Amino acid sequence: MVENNSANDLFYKETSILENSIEIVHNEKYRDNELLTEYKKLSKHYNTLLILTKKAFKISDTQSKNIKMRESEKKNLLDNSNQGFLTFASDLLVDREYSMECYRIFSRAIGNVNILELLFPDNEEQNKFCEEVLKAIFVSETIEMQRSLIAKLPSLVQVNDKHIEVKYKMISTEESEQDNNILMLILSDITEKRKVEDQVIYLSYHDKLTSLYNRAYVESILPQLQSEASLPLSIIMADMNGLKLTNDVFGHDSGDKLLINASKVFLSCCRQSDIVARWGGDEFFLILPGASSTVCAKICERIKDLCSKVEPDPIELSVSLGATTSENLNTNLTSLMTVAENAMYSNKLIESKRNREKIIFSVEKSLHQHCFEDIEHIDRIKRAVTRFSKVLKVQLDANAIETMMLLARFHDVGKAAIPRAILSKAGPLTQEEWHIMRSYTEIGYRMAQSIDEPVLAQAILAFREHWDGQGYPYGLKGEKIPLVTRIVSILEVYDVMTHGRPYKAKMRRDEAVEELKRCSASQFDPNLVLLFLNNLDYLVRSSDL
Amino acid sequence: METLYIEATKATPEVNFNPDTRTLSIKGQSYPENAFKYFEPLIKWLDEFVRQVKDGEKTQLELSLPYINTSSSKCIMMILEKSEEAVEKGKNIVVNWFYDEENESELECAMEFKEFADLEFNIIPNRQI
Repeated sequence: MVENNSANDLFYKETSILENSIEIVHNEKYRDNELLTEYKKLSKHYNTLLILTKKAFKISDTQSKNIKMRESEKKNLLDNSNQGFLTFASDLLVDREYSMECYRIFSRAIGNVNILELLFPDNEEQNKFCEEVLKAIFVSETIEMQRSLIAKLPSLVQVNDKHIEVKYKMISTEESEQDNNILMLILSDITEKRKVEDQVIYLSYHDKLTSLYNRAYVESILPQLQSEASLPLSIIMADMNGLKLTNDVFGHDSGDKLLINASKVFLSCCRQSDIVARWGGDEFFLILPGASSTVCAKICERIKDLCSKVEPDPIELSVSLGATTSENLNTNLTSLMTVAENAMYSNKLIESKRNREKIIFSVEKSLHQHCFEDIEHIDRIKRAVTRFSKVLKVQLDANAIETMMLLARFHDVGKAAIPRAILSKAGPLTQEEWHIMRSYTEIGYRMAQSIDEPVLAQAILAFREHWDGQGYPYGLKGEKIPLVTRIVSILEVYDVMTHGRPYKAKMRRDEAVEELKRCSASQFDPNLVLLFLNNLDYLVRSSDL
Repeated sequence: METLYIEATKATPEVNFNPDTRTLSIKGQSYPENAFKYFEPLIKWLDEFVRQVKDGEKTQLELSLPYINTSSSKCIMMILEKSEEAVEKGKNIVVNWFYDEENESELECAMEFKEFADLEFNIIPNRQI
């Protein structure tokens, strides 16, 4: 009669009482007891009750376990969705259960907190408006009405410096004690997404290097500028001088610095309302709404002045400018930009000689500061060049002499791009260091090319070639090496030997002569060495020693 | 009496006896597979404790059970019955049931147990034990 299963453990006491009562019922001693019939009935019903109770417990426990498991799974899903889910009824108090992301968004527990306090703690007006709308939602009779009211609620809010996208959903529920409907909010933190989007927009309209506006931005705002409010409208086109040379000789990092410095100059000379943009490469457009030609001219002047005051790094900052002003609404802005561009090219041409001189001067200065060239060394070689051209049997034309003069000044210009540690190293260079060192003639070649001196460029390139073809970079041999190079290399090496370098002591004249003889026909043109040595006293005056 | 400590799991509560304060706390959800198997050692421990404790020495039974399945309810009732019997024999046992103020069903549950147990039974809102 007593069910025998594991639930007995839980009801051991009751089971024990029941077993006892059954014993009593079957005990002959109580056969004639007047209460036996009723007692029998009671035991029977107690047994039934106990069986039913055990069954109910088992069913209930199984259901509970299942419910808890599913609750846990759902919570897991919601908490790991990276979205905030919360609900509230017409009292606008957030229900007890909400996803973990809500805690992160609001930085606190939000159960039983008024939703308006969470979303609009500082905005009373918005708070009031939303309260009215929310209350109306809960009393609206149709779904369409609910939807149109929901559409009035903000889809983007700011909570603790986070940008939160909010979606609303009306849910019917029978579980709520208060209402049949509850409103669910789905919150997505789009702060990072916004940052990325803002950055993309920024980058799409700004030049990465200089942070100025870029061409895309200028093109996008041209229609806006074509308006009465922008008149008179001035445009300046600026073109940097010497950027290619800087990149070639000193490297692109130096070129980038030059561009950045130029950008800073433009920004500091322009007004807040002006648009300063990097058009591309070394070109810039400065668009000045409301600037007359006088104002525009003043800005141009300021730019030139400021450029000259910037510390050369590595060369002096120099720009060519072209400007134009329109007072007519009908003037096409693209055409205006072309006018400014043409004006710039015109000015660049006029200023080209002066600009070239400035660049050469800058490079020379850098050479003297960075390398071990000194002005006296170069002056001595230049004097020797003049004299040598007189003793040379073949008459050199003015261009060749001019080239030699330039070669005297710039034969080592490429060293400005060589690390000083390598230039000043006393001991032998490593393979890697030697590889870097050897590149200086090519760097010098590029520099000369960029100032339109192709003959000089070739002469610099060949400066370390040897008569016997064992030089670099191309192993040119004999008369394939330019004459001007063959001459200046002898003059240069003699001067270095007899005046020394920081890393090498100077030699006596006889020692230098012996060395030249030793290298004649291998490193140097033997005929020119002979000519040099035969005219040594004339070529190298005692005042030069 | 030595300390007693049973770590909580997802389906079973933490059980902790502090001999210095003579406080037995049972805290957490309770829906084990076999409730009797889980609670039996505790019930036996309680029997031994009641035997050892001196008359009049106050012992607190602190309960905080946000969710409790049917079989666990029976086991808690058994614990309360034991406590009641101990009080009848002169022991000083007090029950403190803590509930989450925001959870009405927890309060209702506490009140049901209070009705069942005939000993000092305090229902206290929201304390971390």
